[in-house]
Amino acid sequence: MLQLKEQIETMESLWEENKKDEAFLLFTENLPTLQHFLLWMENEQVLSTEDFGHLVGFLYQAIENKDHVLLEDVMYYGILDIIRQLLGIENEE
Amino acid sequence: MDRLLHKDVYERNMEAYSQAYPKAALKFKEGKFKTENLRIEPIQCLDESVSFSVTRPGEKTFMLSGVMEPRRALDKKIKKHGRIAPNTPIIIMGMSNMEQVEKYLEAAQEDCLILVYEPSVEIFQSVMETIDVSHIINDKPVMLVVEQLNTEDLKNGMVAMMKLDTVASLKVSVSPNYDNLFPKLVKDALNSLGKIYDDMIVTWNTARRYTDVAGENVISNIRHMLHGYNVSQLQNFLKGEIPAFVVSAGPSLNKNIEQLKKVGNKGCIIAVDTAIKPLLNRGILPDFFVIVDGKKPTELMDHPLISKIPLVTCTIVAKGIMDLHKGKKFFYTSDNPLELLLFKEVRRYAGEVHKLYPTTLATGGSVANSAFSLAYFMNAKNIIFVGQDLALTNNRTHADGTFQEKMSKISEQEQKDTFLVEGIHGNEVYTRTDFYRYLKWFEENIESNQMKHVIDATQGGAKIHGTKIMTLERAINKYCVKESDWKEKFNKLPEMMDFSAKSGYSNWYQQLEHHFEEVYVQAKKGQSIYERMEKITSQKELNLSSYKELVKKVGKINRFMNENEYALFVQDNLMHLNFVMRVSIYEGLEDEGDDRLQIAKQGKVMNFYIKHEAKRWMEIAKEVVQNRPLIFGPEDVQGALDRLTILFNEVKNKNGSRVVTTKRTNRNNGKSLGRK
Repeated sequence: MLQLKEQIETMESLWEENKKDEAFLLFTENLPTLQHFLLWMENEQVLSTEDFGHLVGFLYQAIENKDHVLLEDVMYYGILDIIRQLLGIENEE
Repeated sequence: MDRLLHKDVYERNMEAYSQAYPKAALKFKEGKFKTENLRIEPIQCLDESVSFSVTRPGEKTFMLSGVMEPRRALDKKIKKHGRIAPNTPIIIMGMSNMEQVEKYLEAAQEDCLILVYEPSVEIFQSVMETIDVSHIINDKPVMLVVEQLNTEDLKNGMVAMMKLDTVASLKVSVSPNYDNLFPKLVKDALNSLGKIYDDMIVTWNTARRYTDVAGENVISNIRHMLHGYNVSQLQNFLKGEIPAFVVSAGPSLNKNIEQLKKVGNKGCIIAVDTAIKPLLNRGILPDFFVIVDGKKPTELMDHPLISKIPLVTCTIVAKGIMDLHKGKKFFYTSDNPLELLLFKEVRRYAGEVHKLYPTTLATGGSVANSAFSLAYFMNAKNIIFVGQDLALTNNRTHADGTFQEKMSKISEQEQKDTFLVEGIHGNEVYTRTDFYRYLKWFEENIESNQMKHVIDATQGGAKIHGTKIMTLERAINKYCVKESDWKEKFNKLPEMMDFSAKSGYSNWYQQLEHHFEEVYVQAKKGQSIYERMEKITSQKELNLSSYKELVKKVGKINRFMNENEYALFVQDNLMHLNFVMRVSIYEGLEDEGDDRLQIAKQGKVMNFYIKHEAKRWMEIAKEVVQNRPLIFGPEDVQGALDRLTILFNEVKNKNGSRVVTTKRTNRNNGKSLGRK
C-alpha cells in the first residue's frame, strides 16, 4: 500500500508538471499492483460494491480513452484518498 | 451548485441569458447553429458537484472534470495562483465547470474580469439544462461567449480585458479535455489572445517611441483642425464603383510607377507618405496621401506641389510636415485625450455635429495599413496594391527617390535580421519582422472582411494571401473603366466645423493654459496628501481614522487624474513612468502595512511628476496659443452671416418688410479671432 501511495504521488507530480505521457507510463507499470489492491479492497469490503463498480468503471474509461483528467482524478482523489484513510494519514493539501 | 434536472432551472438560466445576451439568446432559441451530435451526459460526482462526459460520434469519451472531488481539485488549482491582484483578467475556455468562475470571483473578492469561452453550443445547452448558472450569467465582471451564438464578442472581449497595467497577471485556464475535444477552436482562441497581446505590446512600443514628440505634435497640430475635414466625410465616397490604388514605397515601385499616369478620373490614388515624392517627381498627383508618423522627416514631403494633395492625417503626426502642407487636411483620430476633448468641446457649440465625431482608421502599425483602411472606408470597387513589397526586394527597403535618390542596399547587420517568406511568384523572398507583421495584418483583414476584390499589382515582393496577383497595367485596364464625378463632389466638401463650432474652438483654445493649471494644482495637492500618508504609515501604530480621512481625499484626486482629459493628456506624456507605477500598484504586497507604505510612496512620486509635467504643458500651451493663433477668414464668418440673413429675410417677408442682403466682406480676412 505504501509503495502504491508513493507511486501515485509521483504520478501526481508528473501531472502537475504537465508530463502526462510519463505519468501514464508509470501508471501502466503499476497496473498489476493497483489491480491487486482493488481486488483486496473488494474482498475486505473496504468499499461498497456500488462505489467499487464506479471506481473500476471510471478507471477503465480513463485507460481506454487515455483521459488524463479522469485518470488523475481517480488516482489522486479516489485511490490515494482511500490509501491515506487506511493508513490513517491526514490529507496533505 | 445543485445538480438539477428541472425545467425551471433551464428557464431561469435562459431568462438570465436573454437579459444579458439578447441577440445570442434569440439565435439559440431559434436553433440558428450547427450541431456535432455530441453525446453529453451529466454525471453526479462524489462531492455532489456535476461533471459531464462528452462523446463525439465514433470517437473517445472524455470527462469535462474529475468525477471524484472536482471541487478539491479546483481549490488546489486556484490556491496555486497565490494572491489574485485587483483587476486581474481571467480567461476560461469551457463552461463545463462554472464553479471555477465562482471560485475565481471568491479568490479575487470579485475584483477581477472573467471571460468564459464555450466552444460548443451543445455543451452550453447541457449546462443550461442541468445546472443553475443564472447568477453567474448576471454577474457583472463575467462575460460569456458561446461559439456560434456570439463568437464575434470573443475578440472584443479579449481586447477589452487586456490592459497594459494588468496583463502581467493574466490567467488563462483551459478546462479539462477541451484541448482534446475542440483542439482547433481552443488553439484559435489562444492564438487570438496571443495576437492581441502582441498588438498591445507593439502599440505600447510605438506609443513609447513617440511619447517624447506626441504631446507637442498634438498641441501644435490641433490648430490645423480649425480648417480641417473629418475622414468620416469620405465614407462611401467611391460608392463601390471606383477602384483605389494604395501606393506604397516598396522597391518594386520603381518598376511600374509610370503606369499610374493612366489612372486619371477612373480611379483614386492613395499614396503613403514616403511614396509622395517619387510620384510628384514624375508628375503623378495622387488624390490623397496618408501619414501616421510622429517623427517623419519633413524633407520627405518637401515638394512644391505637396499642398495640392489632400492629406489624410491625425494630430500626432510630425508638426513640421503639418505646417509645411497648406492644403486640405482630413483628420482621423489619434485618440489623444486633448484631441478628443476638442471634438467634445466644439460639438457643444456646433450647428451640425455629425462631422465632429472622431473617426478611427484601422491600422496594423504601418501607414500602408491605414491607406488600405481608408480605401475600404471609401468603399473602393477594388483595392489595388502598388509598391507593397513587404519584402527586401533586391536587398532594398524602399523605392528610389524616397530616402535617397538611389536607394542603397541594406547593411550586412540588417541582413542578419531577415528571414524568408513566400514571394508572389511562388519563390522565397527576404523580409523583416515589421514588414511581416504588416503583411499578416493585411491578410487577416482581407480574410475577416471577406474581401474578394483586393489586387496585388506590386509586381514583386512577398505574397499577400487573399489578393489576386496581376501587373499594374492589366489592373488599370481591367478596373479603371468608369469615369466618375467623385472628384467634383470632393472639391465641394465643407470643412468639418461650422462657424459656431469654430467660435467654440477659439474660446477653448484661449483657455488651454488655464486647464493645465488645474492639473498642476490637483497634482500638488495629491503629492502633499500622499506625503502625509507616508508619514502616518511609517509610524509603528497606524492612526486609522487619519489614514482613512487621507484615503478619502486622495481618492478624489485620483478620480480627477483618471477622468479629467487634461490630466490624462499630461499622464500620457509620462507613459513610461505611469506604466511602471501602475503595474506595481496592481501587483500589491502580501503585508498590508508594507502595501500602504508602498502606495503612499508611489502616489507621492507619481503626483510629483504630474505636477512638473503639468507646469511644462502650461508653458507650452501659453507659447502655442500666443505664437500659433487660430486664423479666421471671411468665408468662416460669411456662412454664418448668410444663414442669419436667410432667417432674417424669412421673418421680414412674413411681416411684409423689405429684404436685407449681405455683401461678402474681407474685413476680417487673415485676422485671429480673439477671446470673446
